[in-house]
Amino acid sequence: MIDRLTALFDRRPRTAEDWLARMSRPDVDARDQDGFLAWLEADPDHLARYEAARADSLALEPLRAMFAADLARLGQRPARTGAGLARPRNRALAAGGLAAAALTVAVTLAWPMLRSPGELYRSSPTQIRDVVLADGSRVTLDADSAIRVDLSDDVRRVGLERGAAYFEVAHDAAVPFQVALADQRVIVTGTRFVTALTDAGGEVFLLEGRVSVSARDAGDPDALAGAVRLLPGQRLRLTADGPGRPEQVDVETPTAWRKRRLVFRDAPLSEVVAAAGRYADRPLVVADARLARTRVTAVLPLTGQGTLVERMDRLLPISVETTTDGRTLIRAE
Amino acid sequence: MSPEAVVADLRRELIVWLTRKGGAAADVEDVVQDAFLRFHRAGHRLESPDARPLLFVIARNLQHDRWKAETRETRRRSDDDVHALDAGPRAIASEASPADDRLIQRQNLAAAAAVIRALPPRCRDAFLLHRFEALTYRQIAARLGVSVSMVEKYVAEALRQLKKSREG
Repeated sequence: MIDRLTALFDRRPRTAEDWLARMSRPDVDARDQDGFLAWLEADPDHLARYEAARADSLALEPLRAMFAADLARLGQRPARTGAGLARPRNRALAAGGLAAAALTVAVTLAWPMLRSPGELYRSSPTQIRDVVLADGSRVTLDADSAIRVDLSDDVRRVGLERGAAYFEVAHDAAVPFQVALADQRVIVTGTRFVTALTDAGGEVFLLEGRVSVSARDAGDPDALAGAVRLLPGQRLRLTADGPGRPEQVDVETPTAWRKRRLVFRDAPLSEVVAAAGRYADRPLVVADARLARTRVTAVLPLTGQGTLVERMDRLLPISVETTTDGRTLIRAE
Repeated sequence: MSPEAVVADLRRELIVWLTRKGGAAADVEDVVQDAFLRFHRAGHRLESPDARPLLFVIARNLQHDRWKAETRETRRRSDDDVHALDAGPRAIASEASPADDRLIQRQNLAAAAAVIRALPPRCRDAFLLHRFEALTYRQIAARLGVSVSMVEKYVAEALRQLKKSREG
């Protein structure tokens, strides 16, 4: 009887499976965490049981394909592969009928609100990609980035939809070139600069020439009214409140990816690993808190002999270990 | 919070906690270091809500093992003890040995698929969306028209059924 009463009031999970389900809730609070810790400490076997339950759930991964029909019925996007979203990486695929359909689906899913005209260029998660536009302008897309390009007679319009892009704009005083990002437009006639989307909004780094950042489209006669002008060597941050003030910064270091290398000046190793992780073909995990305390100055080539992780291992004071599930653990040496 | 800040916070908390449990400063640093490594090796994620409790209990186990090892050391260790140490008591829980049981795993998978198919429809749908679409409980709740707590119950039930079938 007393058991039944406590059971009524005690909604605390009791088994490893219950806890696993609880820990996926969106609102796990400190009380849940304390309860979980108490459960883990209550019996020496509990940790092993929890890890076994978790591993068993992860081991179901190969069944994904088997349930693809159910998932489709549940109104979800098609089954994903272990390697990430199954999306065509090569635009040449668009040639075939079926492949073209697949491409359209993938693009619509990734950017549901963007039905804007123009051609989409994208780079896959580990790839930096060079693109030459029809007007002769050169663009380098950072890894996992996308731009939409619409070259019309009055304005050359590019939208930065994801990641970061470096532009070398072909000079044409009659047809302004603009890059739209984070509600603002970077308007130029011929110049070299980098735009990047960030968590807070966006950034513009000017390497050469002049750019103006405006809330208005370059086709608008008043586009440059109230615009913020940048000089070479300046960075402008864009937030929800609009553009800030241009700041004189080292613009080469944060934009070195365009030359296929990462440059770090007195940066914590954890930051180096996080930045390099964007270009690695498998997840890099900072498995050692000391990484945050070790600072390095280093140039890390993104291309060259061996894998990126091998180059990191050679150049940086780290030790590297690959786990059975394909992640790379990184520790201070 | 940035990942580094999360790690730094957890580190600090762990050190305080272990020190209060009677760890010597130098040992505590080592234990915390090992705990993070063990945590990552087991495939846990720092961004998951279970990270903090898991790290704590892993660190605590490592500290216990260390104490036990030291006591044994002072008692002079026999060959048996050395083996016991190598086996690494409870801190080293089931590190997967994937090569051996690939065949068994295939059979298990077929059995697991059957269990999932046999779940009550809503429970099955909730579990599928959770496991294979990585939807949050909130998203699943909205899609199925049930509460978040109900989604948790469905997922727990599915996990329990899967476990039951495994243990036969």
